[in-house]
Amino acid sequence: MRKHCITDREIQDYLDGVIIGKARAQLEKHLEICSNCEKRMKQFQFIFDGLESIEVPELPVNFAEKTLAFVKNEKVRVLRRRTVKISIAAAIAFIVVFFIPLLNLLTLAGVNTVPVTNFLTEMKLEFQVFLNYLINIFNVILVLNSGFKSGQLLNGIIWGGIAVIFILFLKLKDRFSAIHQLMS
Amino acid sequence: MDYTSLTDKELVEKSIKNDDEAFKEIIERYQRKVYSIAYKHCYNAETSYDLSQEIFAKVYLNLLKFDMVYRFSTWVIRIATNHSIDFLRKKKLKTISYETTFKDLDDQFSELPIPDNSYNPEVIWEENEQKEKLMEGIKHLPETYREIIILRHYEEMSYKEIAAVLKLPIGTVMTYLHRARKLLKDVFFKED
Repeated sequence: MRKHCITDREIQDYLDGVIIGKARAQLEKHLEICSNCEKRMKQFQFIFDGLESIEVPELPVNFAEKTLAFVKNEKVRVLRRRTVKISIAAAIAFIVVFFIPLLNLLTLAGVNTVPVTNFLTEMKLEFQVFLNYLINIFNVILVLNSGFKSGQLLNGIIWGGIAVIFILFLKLKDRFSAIHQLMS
Repeated sequence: MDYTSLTDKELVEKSIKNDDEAFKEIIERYQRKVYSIAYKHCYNAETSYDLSQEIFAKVYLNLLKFDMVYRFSTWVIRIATNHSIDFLRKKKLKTISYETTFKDLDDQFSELPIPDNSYNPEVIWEENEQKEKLMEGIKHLPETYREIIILRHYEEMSYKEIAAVLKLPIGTVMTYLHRARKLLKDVFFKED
């Protein structure tokens, strides 16, 4: 006869019917003499019974027909959504490709397009500055990273972080000096 | 044509070719299972009806992605389970974690409508109040534990089938199932 108490896992395996034969008989004998194990067994039995007791309500009538109709509607909705997405993408592509020729046409037709071209030039410059910053940061990371033989990625991240902070510091320094000049 | 005699895979092939009757047969074959899975996640007939329709729509719209090497039933159950999980996630139910439960179970469950129950083996499951408590307890289980409880006890699936649906090793499925039941037991029978 087993002397030690039954584990929670064993109780569940017993209720699942996984424990069979001699082991099952030994476990049952232990249950007769150990009130603590018997109590835990009843608690688990209660949960097992509860899990079996929850019933699913009956399906509504004509469920299959109604669901098929729903599915067909969904298909139409998805197709429609896809069509709208493709149309938007096509429209954007059209504008991107034909924007400059359109602008030239408008200029030829006598429309004042100077504000638009000015705006575009400014945007282009801003974008170039931003891109240069990114390229500089990336270059610094690459240069620093290549110097390390082991733990390259981590070192690269650390030194890259320092480089970014340094660049930001320089940028802030420029800003501060500009503000200082304005104030003086 | 008698669709009832066709295999799942034959019905899938026909459905892909826009044969509505074939997909209707698929719905009829799996409606009970899908509805049951949905219901065991929300315990509401109306919501599970809506969820089931959405699940079948998902199945239909993804038929082309179904790999014929696998069992169709496992694929449908996986979609039903995942869709039901997403539904619960959107509802943002607060779940309990296994690791903390045993440290401070009372605190974790203080917000749940599950009052303390001293040990009472005489309680019978016909009482709706008890069933509701259990349903609440299941709803608030950690996600994977809840799925395993549902698939094992409600869908009566084997460990192997559960492992296939949830893409977990069988050993993990067994461990999680034991933990999930223990959590439920501890919720119902808080020791003084």
